[in-house]
Amino acid sequence: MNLIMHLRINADRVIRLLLLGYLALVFFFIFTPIVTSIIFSFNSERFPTIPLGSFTWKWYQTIYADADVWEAAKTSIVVAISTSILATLIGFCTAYTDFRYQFRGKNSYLVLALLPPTIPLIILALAMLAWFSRLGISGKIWTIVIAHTVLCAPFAMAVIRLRLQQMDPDLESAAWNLGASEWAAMRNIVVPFTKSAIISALCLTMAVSFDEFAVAWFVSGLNKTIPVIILEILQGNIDPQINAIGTFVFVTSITLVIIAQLFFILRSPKQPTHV
Amino acid sequence: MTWRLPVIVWQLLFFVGPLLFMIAMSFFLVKNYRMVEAFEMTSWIKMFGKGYFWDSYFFTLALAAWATIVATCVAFPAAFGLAFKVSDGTRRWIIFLLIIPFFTSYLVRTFSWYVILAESGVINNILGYIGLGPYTMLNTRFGTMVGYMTLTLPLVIILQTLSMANVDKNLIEAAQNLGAGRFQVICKVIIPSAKVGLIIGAVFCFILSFGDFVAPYYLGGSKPPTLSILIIDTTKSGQQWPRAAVVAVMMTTTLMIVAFTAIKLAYSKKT
Amino acid sequence: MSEPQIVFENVIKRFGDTVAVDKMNFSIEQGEFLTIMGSSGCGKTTTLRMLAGLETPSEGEIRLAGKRINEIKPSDRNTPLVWQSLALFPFLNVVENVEFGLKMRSIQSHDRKQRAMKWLERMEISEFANRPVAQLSGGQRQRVALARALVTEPPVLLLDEPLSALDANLVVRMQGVLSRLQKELGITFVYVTHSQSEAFAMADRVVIMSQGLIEQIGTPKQVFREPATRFVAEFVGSNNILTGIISKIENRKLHVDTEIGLVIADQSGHDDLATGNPVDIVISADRLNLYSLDSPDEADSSSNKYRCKLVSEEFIGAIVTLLVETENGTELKIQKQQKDLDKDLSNVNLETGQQLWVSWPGESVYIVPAKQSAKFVSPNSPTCPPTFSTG
Repeated sequence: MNLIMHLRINADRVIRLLLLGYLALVFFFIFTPIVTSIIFSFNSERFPTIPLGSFTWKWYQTIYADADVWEAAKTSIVVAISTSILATLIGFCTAYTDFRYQFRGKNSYLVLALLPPTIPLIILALAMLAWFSRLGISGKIWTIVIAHTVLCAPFAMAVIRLRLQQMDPDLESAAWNLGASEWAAMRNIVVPFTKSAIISALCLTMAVSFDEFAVAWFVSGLNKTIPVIILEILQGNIDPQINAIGTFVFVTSITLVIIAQLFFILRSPKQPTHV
Repeated sequence: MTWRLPVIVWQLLFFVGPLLFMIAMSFFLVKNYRMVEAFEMTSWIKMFGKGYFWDSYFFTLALAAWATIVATCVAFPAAFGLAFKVSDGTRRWIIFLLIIPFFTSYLVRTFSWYVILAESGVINNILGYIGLGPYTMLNTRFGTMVGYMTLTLPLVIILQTLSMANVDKNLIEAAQNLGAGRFQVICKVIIPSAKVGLIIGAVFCFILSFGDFVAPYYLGGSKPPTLSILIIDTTKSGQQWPRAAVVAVMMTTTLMIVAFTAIKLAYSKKT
Repeated sequence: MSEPQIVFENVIKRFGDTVAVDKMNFSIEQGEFLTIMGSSGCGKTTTLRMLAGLETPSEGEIRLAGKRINEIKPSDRNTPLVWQSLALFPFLNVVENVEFGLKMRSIQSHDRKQRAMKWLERMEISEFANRPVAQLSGGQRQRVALARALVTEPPVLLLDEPLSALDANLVVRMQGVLSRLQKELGITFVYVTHSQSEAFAMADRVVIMSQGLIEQIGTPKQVFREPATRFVAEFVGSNNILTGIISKIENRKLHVDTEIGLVIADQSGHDDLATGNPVDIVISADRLNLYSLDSPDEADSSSNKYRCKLVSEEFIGAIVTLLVETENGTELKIQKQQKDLDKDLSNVNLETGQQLWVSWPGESVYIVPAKQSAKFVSPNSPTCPPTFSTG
């Protein structure tokens, strides 16, 4: 009996180690392309392979000197910022509606609001471009903003809804009860309470918009965004510029995501209870 | 109503509107390289009559199905380890790490794989030192699958981990007390309890792979083209938008059937 | 002519198909401490929320100071509520919480601060003014909630089970604070609770509700001694309730056949009862006496006297609660001051299973005509802990 227990415990340990090893392998697979791209962005060889060439800033200098990249970066930033504001606004409305109201057709409403991410981007891209052309508004920067907002609003909704979940539903009623109009309660209670989630949502939607290429590629017309530039370079020859741009985009997005996470995780620092 | 109306109007105008218009567009005609609004089956008949459409259709379906099976199987041991073999704090950190890939350009990651898998790429160079290869990995199904995994694996692992971490630990202990072995616990307790999360992970994997054009194009060599590549080819290099719309409608319909069936399966009582 | 400060007239509130409050009629005088009591789901909180404007009556009219308020928005009423959850704003500090009502009334920042501080001082929490509310103890938060509600100097304060989250010691202390505050301010308090001890300790009048209906309105003493319905008798947990039929009326005494035998009660106030009427008999637990079997008859002149055996004994402070079982198996509850019990049973060493006499005088028996109560007898009447104290 004792021996069997002993074997079992040993087997447990081996299985644990095997699983953790496997996990490391999976992580290796997931992070290999990311790390590779960062490394090669500093590599002097034209065709990125090993052994590595010497360290260089060449590719960064190339993109720094490239007016098209600058133009695209500007477009990307404008689109990402506008998208994040619009998408967060819409996400907030949806989350608040779900939190506060019960009504007939609520399920259909939520499906309508949350469905976009389940539609393949390429289909959304096709449909959006066709629709904008039909309305005669295609090729403008703000058509990318609209398309990205549709895509990003559900993410904002999810983040803000999770935060609202933690709000005592009496809080808003308490504000009315103390003389706040619906608007005043919204401004003074609901918005401050969800502030951390709103910032998270702004960052997340900005990051998604900053990375999105399929819809932007179709809809953008002449206003290319950074991912569209990458796509176009990709269609040409092997060009380590991509790694430089990619690293730049990666750093931007990751900064946004980390800010979002910080606000989300650190929203309510545990305070010592006063004795 | 103040809060509901703007969202409804927005979604109808810029989400439902485009999708409905796309369906309508599949019945339009193209005359003299210009689209004419009509209600004709022409594009449908044309597309359905073409062998290459059906080749693409079943090829895409098979690829996405394979991706789903591979991702589910590859993710499961990892998610299992994350759910049961690490502390809650570690798990939170690892999930945070798994979120990072979502925010790195998928295009750049694909390009990295291109460089790694190429005939004179990183892997073949390494293998060359020990006298192996070179192997052709680009422009094969393997290449496509690597791309698909890059796209879907983090999400599938996250969804599987979350669903398994929520399995009632008492249930597992009860099963062990009743003398169930490891394998039995996994098959009879953990998988049925985490079923919804596992299936949702698989569905997302299917949707993403089915709609992706980057991996099959740049890593798979587009032979034959998948449906999404077909859409791009039809629209970017011609004015055959109605035909592209036909493909898109077929894709959406297929996805809806798959998702609906899977969700019914996920929530059915029988295991 | 002046009508009471608050009037409910035929107020009905429905949520979908369920009726939360049914044809409610009552009024509250200016300066009164009124407690609405009942088990959960009886409509007491809905009543309070209608007063605050957070629910709108489906039918009927609510008047405040003679004015119909059904349609007035909650923000325009000045009927602040102290919430069960307290609903303090977690991202504001103590003084900002208290200032909130004033800020919403566009009062200047300086003035606002002064008035808020005045209330914090009054509630003895001014030292915490700049703390986040999360750092306060339960009792301190309670005081913040009170200060926040009272800072606008309202004519009415609504309280929804404000003490339910506090521990027992603190509850008693806060009851004192609330009572004193209400007397000093002279404003109306409408206080919702499911706790008898809270209701009886503070209220001028008590409204007892069940399933959306008012069962009784009266002073705590009336409700306790003269329950209007069987529901009230059962809800006020310190009662013994027997069911029977009047077998004889003689010398203004009712002879009632009950499950424990013949019980004799005074007829006063029940001239309409006749032989054959079914009635419920209510004897509050502190009216029952216990004697040892060998005590002389003269020691007890009560008309009602039964053999019983002791089932259990429980001490809460100076109060003893005893359960005895009569010969047919009916349990009776007795609550006594320890010293009274010692006097009556001086020669007995109480132990479980002991045979005793239980008795009570005829005038302590309260009759509830059964036809009146039949409608309200709920299949699963609430069980209340015997926490009533006369102190």
